[in-house]
Amino acid sequence: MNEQYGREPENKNEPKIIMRLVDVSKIYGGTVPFKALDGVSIDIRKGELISIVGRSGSGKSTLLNLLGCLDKPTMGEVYIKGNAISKMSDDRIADLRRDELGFVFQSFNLAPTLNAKDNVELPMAIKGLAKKEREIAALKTLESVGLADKAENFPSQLSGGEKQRVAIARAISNKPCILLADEPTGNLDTKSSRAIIENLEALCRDNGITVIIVTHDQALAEEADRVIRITDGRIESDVKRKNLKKVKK
Amino acid sequence: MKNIDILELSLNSLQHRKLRSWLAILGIVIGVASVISLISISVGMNENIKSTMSGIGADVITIGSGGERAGSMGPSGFGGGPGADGRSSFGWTSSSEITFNEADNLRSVQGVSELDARVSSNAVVRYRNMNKSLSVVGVEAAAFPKSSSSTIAKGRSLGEGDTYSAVIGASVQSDTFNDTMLNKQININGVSFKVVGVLNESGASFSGPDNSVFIPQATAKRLFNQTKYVSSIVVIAASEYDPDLVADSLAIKLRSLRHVTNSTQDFTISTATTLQSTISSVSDTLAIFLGAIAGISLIVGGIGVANAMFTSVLEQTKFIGLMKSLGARNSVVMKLFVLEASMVGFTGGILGVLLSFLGSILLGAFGLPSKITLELVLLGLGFSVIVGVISGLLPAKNAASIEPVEALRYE
Ligand SMILES: Nc1ncnc2c1ncn2[C@@H]1O[C@H](COP(=O)(O)OP(=O)(O)OP(=O)(O)O)[C@@H](O)[C@H]1O
Ligand SMILES: [Mg+2]
Repeated sequence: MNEQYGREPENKNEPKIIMRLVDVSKIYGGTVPFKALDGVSIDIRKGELISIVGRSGSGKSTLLNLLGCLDKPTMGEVYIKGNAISKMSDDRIADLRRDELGFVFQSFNLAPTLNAKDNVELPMAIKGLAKKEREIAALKTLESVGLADKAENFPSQLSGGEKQRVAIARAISNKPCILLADEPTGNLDTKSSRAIIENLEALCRDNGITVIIVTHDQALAEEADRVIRITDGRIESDVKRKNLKKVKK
Repeated sequence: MKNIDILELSLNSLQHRKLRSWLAILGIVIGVASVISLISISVGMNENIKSTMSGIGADVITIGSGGERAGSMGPSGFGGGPGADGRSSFGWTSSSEITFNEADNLRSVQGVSELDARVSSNAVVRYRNMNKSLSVVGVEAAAFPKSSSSTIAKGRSLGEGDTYSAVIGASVQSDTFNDTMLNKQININGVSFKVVGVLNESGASFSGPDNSVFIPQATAKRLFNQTKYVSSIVVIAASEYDPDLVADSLAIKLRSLRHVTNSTQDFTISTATTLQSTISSVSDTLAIFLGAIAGISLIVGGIGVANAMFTSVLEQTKFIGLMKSLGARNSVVMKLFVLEASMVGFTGGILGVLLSFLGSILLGAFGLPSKITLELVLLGLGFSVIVGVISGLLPAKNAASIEPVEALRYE
């Protein structure tokens, strides 16, 4: 069944596919139904650093939400490590989000009633880790994003860039194999943006985490191994880094 | 997710939304307090009626003059109080009144153990220099120990040889004149009497023997110049007879004596059973009325609780989306809100119970009897927790069932 799409004969040169979208469409309901994604197919391999670009309203967030299992496609199928999402129970999808996926939101979505450390601990608490273990791991993760000294600060006591770094720390606290970030630098200045992106890149390089970033920023996009351009809900181009220059000309 | 972590998270959420949480709790407090208070009034009134009923001897039959009108005045036989003094208050024509002759004829009816043909009137009673208008009842000394609905507390009952002796009701001594009156002189319509006995409280809250002065029948006939007509007759049924059957026999006999039929009957005859049915029909109406109010307050309180929980959950839709996007299962999200809802419900319930005790005291001050029972307290607590949980569960279930992105979009 899903084997047909989910697993393919291993190509010796390339890392294995951990996520695959097959002919995915997303239609938003409402008074006027709107097709935000139209027959999108993508393979994502382990350890890739991918950027998704496109005009506002082109369907980038919609795509990322589907990749992050935060939403379900209207048509088509999403496979994670060879398993079709549509065949999974809600609990299995929840466990998948908890164990395999990390999501960084454009609007941070930090819990306002929890301090930075507790926010980072939250996914680990959901996983059922003991308090002690969580605390040590959370502090370590905060340190890795340069926020060791802000562990006790509540979101309202953090700058935008700091909030986003807490959100990244939270997204990676359960050691996901795929990290998805929706315009993580959306409303940050260039310097802060750079710090965030460097953080993400380091994660990708050092831990073999697959990182997918939605961004407006052309310079940022070109840091990636692979750039996927979306136009009106369709993939306009999907280019690996070595070919980037050619396309630009 | 571990339960302790879920608990900590709910507590954190409650703490950080203090005002909201307290408003939710307040909604529940008001709901619970109004439910308990209103039901407690109903319980209190029923208890009151019950204790009144227990003051009515089961073997007492009361006969009074007058037809339907007397029936509508109801308990003419509450131990021979002013209710028995129908003549002065209702102005019945003498032709419809029962004569001593007729009363004497009833003594031979089967099942009659004692018959007390009473003469009563309101009279000015003077003690020391206080003048009070009281019900003065002339009773037959031999029958009085049984026909009286309360027993002797101090002194003795009236004896055959007494003429200017009086037995007084409990409140005549304790309220009206507020003095130890045994063996003291009182003055009724200018005639001097000696108090030979004081009755126990009868417990009946309607004007009863507690507020009356009892004197020998013969003396009363002279004093009130009422030698032909009785005010009321109190009959005690013999223990081996059914008082209701004795009452029937008395009615048949009296009808034939007075040449009236069932439909033209010009006297009333009541037993504990007929009184009870009158009273219980009143208390039933009351119970239905208060039950309806309690039902309405349950609904209003329930809506208050539900509304509080609904808003609380709606406000946290975004947080639900976050929890889900971080991989929390639906059951964890539900647990989180059930815990939160039951803590709010329980706190509200406890405070509501406390408030209702205060309310009960306040109602008591306004003379409304109310009684808070253990069952009512448990009802209030159970109600608040159950309604709280259900009304927290429904929106949480809703929020948990939508996809995380949808929940996160909620503002
Ligand atoms: N919940 C929704 N209901 C209806 N239409 C929606 C919904 N979410 C998105 N859309 C529409 O779908 C299209 C794609 O939205 P999406 O958020 O994916 O765009 P985007 O590429 O992320 O844009 P941006 O760069 O501005 O964030 C838009 O035209 C948007 O109006
Ligand atoms: Mg977007």
